[in-house]
Amino acid sequence: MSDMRDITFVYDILDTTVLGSGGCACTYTEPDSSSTSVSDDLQVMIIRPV
Amino acid sequence: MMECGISKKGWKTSQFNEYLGELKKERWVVYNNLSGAMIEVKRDLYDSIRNNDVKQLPKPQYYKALSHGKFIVEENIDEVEEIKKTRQNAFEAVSVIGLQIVPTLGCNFKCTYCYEQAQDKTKLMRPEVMDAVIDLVNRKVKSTSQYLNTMWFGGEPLLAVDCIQYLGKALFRLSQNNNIQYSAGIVTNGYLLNEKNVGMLLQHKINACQVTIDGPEEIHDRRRMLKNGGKTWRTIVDNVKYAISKGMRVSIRMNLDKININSIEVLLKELEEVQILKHVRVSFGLVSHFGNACRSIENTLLTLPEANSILKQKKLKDLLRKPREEQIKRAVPDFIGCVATGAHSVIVGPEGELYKCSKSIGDEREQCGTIFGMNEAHPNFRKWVDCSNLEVEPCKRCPMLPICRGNGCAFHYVVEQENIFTCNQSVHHEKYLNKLISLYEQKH
Repeated sequence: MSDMRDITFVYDILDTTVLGSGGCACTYTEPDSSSTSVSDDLQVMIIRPV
Repeated sequence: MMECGISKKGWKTSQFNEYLGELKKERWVVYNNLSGAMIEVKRDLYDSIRNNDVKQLPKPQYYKALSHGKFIVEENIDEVEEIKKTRQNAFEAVSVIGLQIVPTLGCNFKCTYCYEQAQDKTKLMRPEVMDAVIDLVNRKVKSTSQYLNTMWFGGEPLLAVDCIQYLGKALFRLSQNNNIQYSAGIVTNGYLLNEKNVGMLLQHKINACQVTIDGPEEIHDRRRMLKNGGKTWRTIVDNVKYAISKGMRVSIRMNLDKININSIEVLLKELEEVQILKHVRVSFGLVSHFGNACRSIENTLLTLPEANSILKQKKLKDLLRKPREEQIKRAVPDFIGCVATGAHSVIVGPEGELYKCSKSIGDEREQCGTIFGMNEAHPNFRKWVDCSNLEVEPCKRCPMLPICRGNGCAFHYVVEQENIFTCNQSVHHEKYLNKLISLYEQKH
């Protein structure tokens, strides 16, 4: 969506049809999450990427 | 027209906006953590949004666009209350059903730091327990359900192949019959992730796995050995390579302490040499002494700040850089929680005993009933589901609230009675903002 010159949507709103996985966040990254991302840090927050 | 009606309302700036500054010449960027939308605007409008000066925007169309992306909300809306309502709706709709299945507590390994407690580790999940699991999902699934997520855990789940075959097949079929999304994964030590088992797992749509490799061969084999002391590294690496070749998504987990943290680079080099590294995600955990882990490991434990400090020096991002461009993805709002905090998620042990957190598996004090009469009002069930940062003042004011459940794993808060919500917000937030900037750069 970028129908206005003054406001350009770089990313439109997320499809949050599925709002989370209900899976285990501490020992396992769900298949639909950013499982290919590279981490150089311990995850200290439960942030659930798409 | 909608624009006219919309502009007459009172508006305010969303508390979940992230202001990323001028990332391109005269293009100022705002992100919203609830909607996941990102916009470029000119300086004047950026300042208006940031300063909550949005009552009289110059063009009525602005209201439509900005409210679409949730950058502004109606003045009378309490955004935290809205999240609570959304969580409640997701709960009532049984949107997501999460199942962690422990078909056995038995294990072929004798890891030095294992925390699982069980008196009889040889039992496999009985057929009547598996049928009760299927009944439970059948009862839970409603027309409003959208997603069934199962994860196989242990013990070593691949010691219970028959259970995985029977139950895995039934659950996948159930999701198909009810037209809901299905995903399944397994956490395995990798030793039995052989050709036959990889084929079986993929057949039942269990196509993601996490395997722990604790360092280069010599170090790993001293920590994660077979029951008889036998070595495991070589077999695991060969198995992982095969699983990847068959299309399984593999995540390598390395459990860190003082003994192995300085051998991360060696492991990564070895994984690169056997052409695994570029195909897997690598993640790190900390060895800790909860549960029944041997107290003798205490001297080797690292605290989180210690580990983070060492990891930071290592610049692992450079070491782990992959040949192809990785897509950075947006964090979706977390309205469901993990298996522990999710209202319709539960862990089923081999005898049908239920738990909420994988770190409590085998600990009778943490059981919350059995699969034969699941009671969601059980205190050991409720204490996890009711764990929320939505009532905590610093969290309520944090722009990251929609995507964060507090500082770390709920286990520390619920079981170890630590204050989960005393996070170092500024540090986390700064890291997060950098991620958002990368997200922007990805599009340019």
